[in-house]
Amino acid sequence: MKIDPTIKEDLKEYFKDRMRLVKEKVIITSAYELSDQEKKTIISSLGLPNGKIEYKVDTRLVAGVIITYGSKIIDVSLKGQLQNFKHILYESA
Amino acid sequence: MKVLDEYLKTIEKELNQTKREVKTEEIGFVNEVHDGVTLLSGLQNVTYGEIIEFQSGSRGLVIDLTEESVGAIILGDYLNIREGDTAKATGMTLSVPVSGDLLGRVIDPIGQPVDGKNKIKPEKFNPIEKIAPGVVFRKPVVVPVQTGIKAIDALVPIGRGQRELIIGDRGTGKTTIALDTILNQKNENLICIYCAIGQKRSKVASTVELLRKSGALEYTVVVTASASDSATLQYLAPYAASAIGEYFMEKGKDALVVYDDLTKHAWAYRQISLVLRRPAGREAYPGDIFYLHSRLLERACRLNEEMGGGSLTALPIIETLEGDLSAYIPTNVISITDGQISLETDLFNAGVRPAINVGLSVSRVGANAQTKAMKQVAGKLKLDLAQYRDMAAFSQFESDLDEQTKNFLNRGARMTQILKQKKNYPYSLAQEVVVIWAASNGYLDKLALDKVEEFENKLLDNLKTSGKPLLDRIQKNKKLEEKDEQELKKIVLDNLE
Repeated sequence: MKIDPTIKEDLKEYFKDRMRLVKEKVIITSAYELSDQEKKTIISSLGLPNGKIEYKVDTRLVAGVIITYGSKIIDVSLKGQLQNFKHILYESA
Repeated sequence: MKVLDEYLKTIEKELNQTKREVKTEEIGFVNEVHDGVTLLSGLQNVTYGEIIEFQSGSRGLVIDLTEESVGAIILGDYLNIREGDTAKATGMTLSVPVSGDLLGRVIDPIGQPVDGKNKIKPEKFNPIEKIAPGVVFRKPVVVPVQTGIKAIDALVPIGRGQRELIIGDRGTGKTTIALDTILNQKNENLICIYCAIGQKRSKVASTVELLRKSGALEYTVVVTASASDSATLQYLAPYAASAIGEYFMEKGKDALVVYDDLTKHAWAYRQISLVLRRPAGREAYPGDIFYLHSRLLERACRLNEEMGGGSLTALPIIETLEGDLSAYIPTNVISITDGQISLETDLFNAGVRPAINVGLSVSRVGANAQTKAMKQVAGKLKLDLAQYRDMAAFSQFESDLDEQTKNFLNRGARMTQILKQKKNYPYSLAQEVVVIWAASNGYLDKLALDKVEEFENKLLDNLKTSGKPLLDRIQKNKKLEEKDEQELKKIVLDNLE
């Protein structure tokens, strides 16, 4: 399908806008369902804007949370720690 | 018990620490996986040349940053990377582990051993890509690399820190010249690195075996990215070999790197570039193909005393098609290097081995590095051969020639004969000097052409026994004195009978 060149620029802008929204989205993945109190603690300690936050549960993390915003990630899960440990062991062996 | 107590104390201390370090990491998502190359989204703050780590544990190297995506080449296995996988930026640049342990080992471009022995214990990590030393850190090339090949040491001498290209069609003995040079470095204090790019594994194995058998492996490092390895590894191999060479150079030692061969390296880079959808230029090579080789070969140099005085010599190899030196990659590399050794199929088939075309081969800086003894005998040789070439072309149409022309042709034919040399049989400096001296002083003029080789062997055998003091003297003083020549004349005449 050919896109009309007159709307091409507008379309580009629109997609960029959509991408920006995705980039700004914060996702908090935890090992279990977080209580309201816990959510509040995380948000306040990181200074994140309330509202646009998506919560996910992934039991494979075992414990802790992973916070993703844009292309940045803060991994404070047990799974991540163990992976790191495994890496260090392999490198030093 | 004391040790255990200390351990417990450390653990207690760790546990009591309330503040834990939390690191923010950069991640991206795999959008496309191609042959050894991935395109990712995310990774907003990744830098060019940074290492990224995929979910599966494989690593990648960022070599393409565009507005929307990040292109990375995958180091090693890329079959376990899937679309949607995450990739983490590590903040590191690609480096190889270097240490004295590398000598005698066979490794891949990222420093993993492929000879089935232990892991390399690194002394430090050297970055694979490095800007070549600046002008003020360098000094002229004056120390020779003794290749042990008569034709090269006499006519196209190579100095330590020089870049000399070996160029020729397939099967003309390019690798043999490089390997003979490595074999001759025993007791010469020159550490050799042989970098095999895109070669058959069987060929690499036989090369390693040859080096081992001749006792050359103990001062050699082999870096290999074989034909079955990914294009990525083939692209990185010469830079890794160079990084290893630089480690020895920075220690004040002399090192020699053989890149075998850069044609395949250019192919590997072309593949990566095309997959990354970079614009293709002549012969579909990308625009930066010249820089690919110039930045590699520029790293060869001789450092001055303040920098330790080490050197890195480069012997790149280029394979031509049908002897075409004016193809794209050959002209590029010819212009980058300090001279070339040109090998020809016709000469090879005519039995002139090494098949060096003396007319097309040059060494732009090596003459300063030639030893006195070699200069004494090679000057005349060069002149004789040049005259021979002129006359030979000219006299093909003439039936009766004057006496002088006949003499030139006669001398030239014997010179060509004397420069022939068996494979894997490098000569010492003294042996080379003696043989060339005998030829250039006309002692072989009366000898039948097919008797030259016989004479040469006899002469060397005799010198090994009765003429040992003379040989040792030439080898040590590196020049021919009046009385040496007298003695030599006697021995040569004895052998001619």
